[in-house]
Amino acid sequence: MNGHSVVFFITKRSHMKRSQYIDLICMLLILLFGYASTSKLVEYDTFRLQLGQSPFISSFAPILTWAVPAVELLAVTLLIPARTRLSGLYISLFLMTLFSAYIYAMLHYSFYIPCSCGGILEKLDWKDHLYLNLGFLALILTGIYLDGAHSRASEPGHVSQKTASA
Amino acid sequence: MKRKLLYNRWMTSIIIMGLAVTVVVVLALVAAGPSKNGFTRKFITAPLTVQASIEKNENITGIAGSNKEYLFFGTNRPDKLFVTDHNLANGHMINTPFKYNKKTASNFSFIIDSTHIELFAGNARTVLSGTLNRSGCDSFNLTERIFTRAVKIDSGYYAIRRYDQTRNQQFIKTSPRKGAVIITSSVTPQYNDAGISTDGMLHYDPVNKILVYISYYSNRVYLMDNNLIPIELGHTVDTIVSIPRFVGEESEGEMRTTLTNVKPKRVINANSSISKGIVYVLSKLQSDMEKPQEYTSSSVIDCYVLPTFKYVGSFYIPDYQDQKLRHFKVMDKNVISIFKNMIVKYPFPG
Repeated sequence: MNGHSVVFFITKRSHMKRSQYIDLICMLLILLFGYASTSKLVEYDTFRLQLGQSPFISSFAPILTWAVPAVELLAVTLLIPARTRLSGLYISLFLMTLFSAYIYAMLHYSFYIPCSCGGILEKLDWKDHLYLNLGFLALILTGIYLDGAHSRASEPGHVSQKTASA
Repeated sequence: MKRKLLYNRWMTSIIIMGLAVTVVVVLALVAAGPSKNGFTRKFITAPLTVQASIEKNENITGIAGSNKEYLFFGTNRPDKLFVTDHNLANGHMINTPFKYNKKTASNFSFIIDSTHIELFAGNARTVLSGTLNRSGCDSFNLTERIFTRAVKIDSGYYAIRRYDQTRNQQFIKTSPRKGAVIITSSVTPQYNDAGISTDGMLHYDPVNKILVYISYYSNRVYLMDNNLIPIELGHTVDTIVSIPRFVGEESEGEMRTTLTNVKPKRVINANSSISKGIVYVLSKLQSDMEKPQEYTSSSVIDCYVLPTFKYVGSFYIPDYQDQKLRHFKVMDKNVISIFKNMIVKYPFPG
């Protein structure tokens, strides 16, 4: 096996693994965003109140009250079919970066810290929440990377170097 | 080919992340503009002007109630009341029907209605009931555990906030005859901190038959019906939504566990009063539109109308002889205020 073949060392077996990893990451994101958007909509009044009292976003609260769960649901919808998964991962990346940056900004630059999360996520303190978000951010980036490799491996006519040399 | 694909993906990811961070930075910069505390007030009347005042000593701690002739002020002793007429004249001390008792004196509050006087003794777990100018009283055990807040509600029942079997507090509806008929731990969040983070002021509004629990350390206001069923999670006009945690350290002693504050408490709502379906709250936060000089030389009272706890406006009670307002009570069309060593009466146009 030469150096070139190492770069393209995607066996059918590892291809399956990558696919399963992507499935797992997408499933976790679907669960997270599905739960987060539903709890926001179920506790709509509380969410609207909390957004309205957040120092950075109070002016945009009426729009964000609908927009945040709507974009979360859009991400969930796109993450389900394989062909729109990448778009779903990009939207998830945008949301998770936005939430992480918002929490970081609140922790460091806000004179008080409200909470706009729904359901059990409300039980987390802000630092734990930031760590959770960063964990998911890493997962999403992994998903985008794996999806790239997976797409390449799935391209019609692509034959792995090992298979070709066999 | 693959490298190019991955390069494109990473570039797209970096652009998306940069866009998200830019959105937050822009929002933070906009928020850091002239608006600071994130809320405004609507002033419904000019600062109140003094109608009458009387000197008091340090032993007078609060406003116990009134009848047609007198205003009654609580002291730091359960057996003593300070009494004045409605013009704050002829101030003198009187004896209550209750005897001094160290346990009772450690935590108590009075309610006076006409000639009837009741004393809630949280650490003694009892309510004492008697008549002014008569000796002797009835004593009822309200609960088997220490309570921190108590109000009388309809038909011989009391609503109290007491410690539960864990490290939290719960609300109960109880009567001396029947004991606890309703117990609920679901009104305020439970943090295993002896209920300190969610400590507040409990009122009963007989007009709407609503219990109002106002947090000291956040803007949360819990509205319950007279069966302790939550009917609304309200909030004061400010923006302190989260409930801060103060208690973090604990040490086990031989007899008990001690919980210690890990950071200073920040009081949001310091005192409150209820009258004719309106809740008055002494807030410790300055709104964005208030001038610092006006705010620092006064105390601001926010008004909320029940049953919705909708904010209707605010007014100032100016500092009296450089003293800040400590306690107040709205009675009919007057505001009775307690400062460090003065009691002051203001006519209230609202």
